[in-house]
Amino acid sequence: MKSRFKVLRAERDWTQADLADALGVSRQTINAIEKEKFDPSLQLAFKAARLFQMPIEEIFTDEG
Amino acid sequence: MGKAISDYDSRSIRDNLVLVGWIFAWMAALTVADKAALYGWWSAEWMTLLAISVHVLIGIGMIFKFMAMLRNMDDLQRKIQLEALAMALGISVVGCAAYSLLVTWGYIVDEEVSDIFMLMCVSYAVSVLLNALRYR
Repeated sequence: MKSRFKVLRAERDWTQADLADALGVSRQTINAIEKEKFDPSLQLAFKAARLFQMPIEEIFTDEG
Repeated sequence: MGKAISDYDSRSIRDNLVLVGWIFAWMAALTVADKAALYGWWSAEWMTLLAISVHVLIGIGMIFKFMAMLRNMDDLQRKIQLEALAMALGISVVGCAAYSLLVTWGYIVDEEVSDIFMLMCVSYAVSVLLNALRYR
Protein backbone atom coordinates (compact mmCIF):
# COMPACT_ATOMS: atom_id res chain seq x y z
CA MET A 1 0.00 0.00 0.00
CA LYS A 2 1.33 3.42 -0.97
CA SER A 3 1.09 6.27 1.49
CA ARG A 4 1.60 10.03 1.12
CA PHE A 5 3.12 10.31 4.58
CA LYS A 6 6.45 11.57 3.26
CA VAL A 7 4.87 14.36 1.19
CA LEU A 8 2.42 15.34 3.92
CA ARG A 9 5.27 15.44 6.45
CA ALA A 10 7.42 17.56 4.19
CA GLU A 11 4.57 20.05 3.70
CA ARG A 12 4.44 20.50 7.47
CA ASP A 13 8.19 20.25 8.03
CA TRP A 14 7.73 17.28 10.33
CA THR A 15 10.28 14.56 11.02
CA GLN A 16 9.25 10.91 11.16
CA ALA A 17 9.43 11.18 14.97
CA ASP A 18 7.03 14.15 14.91
CA LEU A 19 4.50 12.19 12.88
CA ALA A 20 5.04 9.13 15.08
CA ASP A 21 4.27 11.30 18.12
CA ALA A 22 1.11 12.69 16.56
CA LEU A 23 -0.11 9.18 15.71
CA GLY A 24 1.15 7.53 18.90
CA VAL A 25 3.33 4.96 17.14
CA SER A 26 7.05 4.23 16.80
CA ARG A 27 9.27 6.05 14.30
CA GLN A 28 10.06 2.63 12.81
CA THR A 29 6.36 2.18 12.00
CA ILE A 30 6.23 5.50 10.11
CA ASN A 31 9.40 4.55 8.24
CA ALA A 32 8.04 1.09 7.36
CA ILE A 33 4.77 2.62 6.08
CA GLU A 34 6.65 5.20 3.99
CA LYS A 35 8.84 2.48 2.49
CA GLU A 36 5.76 0.32 1.80
CA LYS A 37 7.11 -2.47 4.00
CA PHE A 38 4.12 -2.38 6.33
CA ASP A 39 0.43 -1.65 5.81
CA PRO A 40 -1.20 0.39 8.58
CA SER A 41 -4.22 -0.91 10.44
CA LEU A 42 -7.63 0.64 9.77
CA GLN A 43 -7.42 2.34 13.17
CA LEU A 44 -4.09 3.96 12.32
CA ALA A 45 -5.35 4.97 8.88
CA PHE A 46 -8.36 6.71 10.45
CA LYS A 47 -6.06 8.43 12.94
CA ALA A 48 -3.88 9.69 10.08
CA ALA A 49 -6.99 10.90 8.22
CA ARG A 50 -8.09 12.88 11.28
CA LEU A 51 -4.60 14.29 11.78
CA PHE A 52 -4.18 15.46 8.18
CA GLN A 53 -7.90 16.29 7.85
CA MET A 54 -8.11 14.36 4.61
CA PRO A 55 -10.07 11.32 3.45
CA ILE A 56 -8.20 8.02 3.94
CA GLU A 57 -8.10 7.34 0.19
CA GLU A 58 -6.17 10.57 -0.35
CA ILE A 59 -3.47 9.41 2.06
CA PHE A 60 -3.31 5.72 1.20
CA THR A 61 -3.72 4.07 -2.17
CA ASP A 62 -3.97 0.36 -2.73
CA GLU A 63 -1.95 -0.84 -5.67
CA GLY A 64 -3.34 -4.39 -5.50
CA MET B 1 8.46 19.69 16.12
CA GLY B 2 11.80 18.45 14.65
CA LYS B 3 12.31 15.62 17.13
CA ALA B 4 14.63 12.70 16.44
CA ILE B 5 12.95 10.24 18.75
CA SER B 6 9.22 9.89 19.35
CA ASP B 7 7.50 9.71 22.74
CA TYR B 8 6.44 6.17 21.86
CA ASP B 9 10.10 5.17 21.31
CA SER B 10 11.19 6.79 24.59
CA ARG B 11 8.44 4.94 26.45
CA SER B 12 9.33 1.73 24.62
CA ILE B 13 13.00 2.01 25.67
CA ARG B 14 11.91 2.57 29.30
CA ASP B 15 9.52 -0.40 29.15
CA ASN B 16 12.22 -2.62 27.64
CA LEU B 17 14.68 -1.66 30.37
CA VAL B 18 12.09 -2.49 33.04
CA LEU B 19 11.47 -5.85 31.36
CA VAL B 20 15.22 -6.55 31.22
CA GLY B 21 15.27 -5.82 34.97
CA TRP B 22 12.51 -8.39 35.53
CA ILE B 23 14.38 -10.93 33.37
CA PHE B 24 17.62 -10.45 35.31
CA ALA B 25 15.77 -10.71 38.63
CA TRP B 26 14.08 -13.90 37.45
CA MET B 27 17.40 -15.36 36.23
CA ALA B 28 19.06 -14.46 39.54
CA ALA B 29 16.23 -16.11 41.50
CA LEU B 30 16.50 -19.19 39.25
CA THR B 31 20.26 -19.36 39.78
CA VAL B 32 19.91 -19.03 43.56
CA ALA B 33 17.20 -21.72 43.72
CA ASP B 34 19.23 -24.04 41.46
CA LYS B 35 22.74 -23.58 42.85
CA ALA B 36 21.61 -23.66 46.47
CA ALA B 37 20.63 -27.28 46.04
CA LEU B 38 23.83 -28.07 44.11
CA TYR B 39 26.24 -26.42 46.55
CA GLY B 40 24.22 -26.92 49.74
CA TRP B 41 23.95 -23.23 50.64
CA TRP B 42 21.30 -24.11 53.19
CA SER B 43 19.70 -27.24 54.58
CA ALA B 44 16.34 -25.96 55.82
CA GLU B 45 13.48 -27.13 53.61
CA TRP B 46 11.54 -23.90 54.11
CA MET B 47 14.47 -21.97 52.57
CA THR B 48 14.29 -24.15 49.47
CA LEU B 49 10.53 -23.65 49.21
CA LEU B 50 10.99 -19.91 49.71
CA ALA B 51 13.66 -19.72 46.97
CA ILE B 52 11.41 -21.62 44.54
CA SER B 53 8.39 -19.46 45.47
CA VAL B 54 10.35 -16.24 44.97
CA HIS B 55 11.53 -17.53 41.59
CA VAL B 56 7.95 -18.37 40.52
CA LEU B 57 6.55 -15.04 41.77
CA ILE B 58 9.21 -13.03 39.92
CA GLY B 59 8.52 -15.20 36.86
CA ILE B 60 4.80 -14.35 37.01
CA GLY B 61 5.67 -10.66 37.36
CA MET B 62 7.92 -10.93 34.31
CA ILE B 63 5.12 -12.56 32.26
CA PHE B 64 2.61 -9.84 33.22
CA LYS B 65 5.13 -7.11 32.40
CA PHE B 66 5.74 -8.67 28.97
CA MET B 67 1.99 -8.96 28.32
CA ALA B 68 1.46 -5.33 29.33
CA MET B 69 4.25 -4.33 26.96
CA LEU B 70 2.62 -6.27 24.12
CA ARG B 71 -0.71 -4.53 24.76
CA ASN B 72 0.97 -1.10 24.64
CA MET B 73 2.87 -1.79 21.41
CA ASP B 74 1.84 -0.36 18.07
CA ASP B 75 0.77 -2.60 15.18
CA LEU B 76 4.23 -3.06 13.67
CA GLN B 77 5.98 -3.79 16.96
CA ARG B 78 3.27 -6.30 17.86
CA LYS B 79 3.68 -7.98 14.47
CA ILE B 80 7.45 -8.21 15.03
CA GLN B 81 6.88 -9.76 18.46
CA LEU B 82 4.20 -12.15 17.19
CA GLU B 83 6.46 -13.44 14.43
CA ALA B 84 9.37 -13.80 16.87
CA LEU B 85 7.22 -15.68 19.39
CA ALA B 86 5.86 -17.97 16.66
CA MET B 87 9.41 -18.65 15.46
CA ALA B 88 10.66 -19.33 19.01
CA LEU B 89 7.74 -21.65 19.76
CA GLY B 90 8.08 -23.52 16.45
CA ILE B 91 11.84 -23.96 16.76
CA SER B 92 11.45 -25.08 20.37
CA VAL B 93 8.79 -27.69 19.54
CA VAL B 94 10.77 -29.07 16.59
CA GLY B 95 14.04 -28.77 18.51
CA CYS B 96 12.54 -30.49 21.55
CA ALA B 97 11.29 -33.41 19.42
CA ALA B 98 14.65 -33.74 17.64
CA TYR B 99 16.49 -33.51 20.97
CA SER B 100 14.24 -36.19 22.43
CA LEU B 101 14.97 -38.47 19.46
CA LEU B 102 18.72 -37.91 19.86
CA VAL B 103 18.42 -38.87 23.54
CA THR B 104 16.31 -41.94 22.63
CA TRP B 105 18.89 -43.10 20.10
CA GLY B 106 21.76 -42.46 22.47
CA TYR B 107 23.44 -39.58 20.59
CA ILE B 108 22.98 -37.34 23.64
CA VAL B 109 23.77 -38.92 26.98
CA ASP B 110 23.86 -35.95 29.32
CA GLU B 111 20.45 -34.40 28.60
CA GLU B 112 19.72 -30.91 29.89
CA VAL B 113 16.33 -29.15 29.81
CA SER B 114 18.27 -25.87 29.78
CA ASP B 115 19.44 -26.66 26.22
CA ILE B 116 15.84 -26.33 24.94
CA PHE B 117 15.34 -23.25 27.08
CA MET B 118 18.44 -21.67 25.55
CA LEU B 119 17.29 -22.63 22.05
CA MET B 120 13.96 -20.90 22.68
CA CYS B 121 15.60 -17.72 24.02
CA VAL B 122 18.17 -17.53 21.21
CA SER B 123 15.61 -18.16 18.44
CA TYR B 124 13.33 -15.47 19.92
CA ALA B 125 16.16 -12.92 20.19
CA VAL B 126 17.47 -13.64 16.67
CA SER B 127 13.95 -13.43 15.23
CA VAL B 128 13.24 -10.07 16.93
CA LEU B 129 16.57 -8.75 15.64
CA LEU B 130 15.99 -9.96 12.05
CA ASN B 131 12.44 -8.55 12.00
CA ALA B 132 13.61 -5.24 13.42
CA LEU B 133 16.20 -5.04 10.63
CA ARG B 134 13.63 -6.05 8.01
CA TYR B 135 11.29 -3.19 8.93
CA ARG B 136 14.06 -0.70 9.67
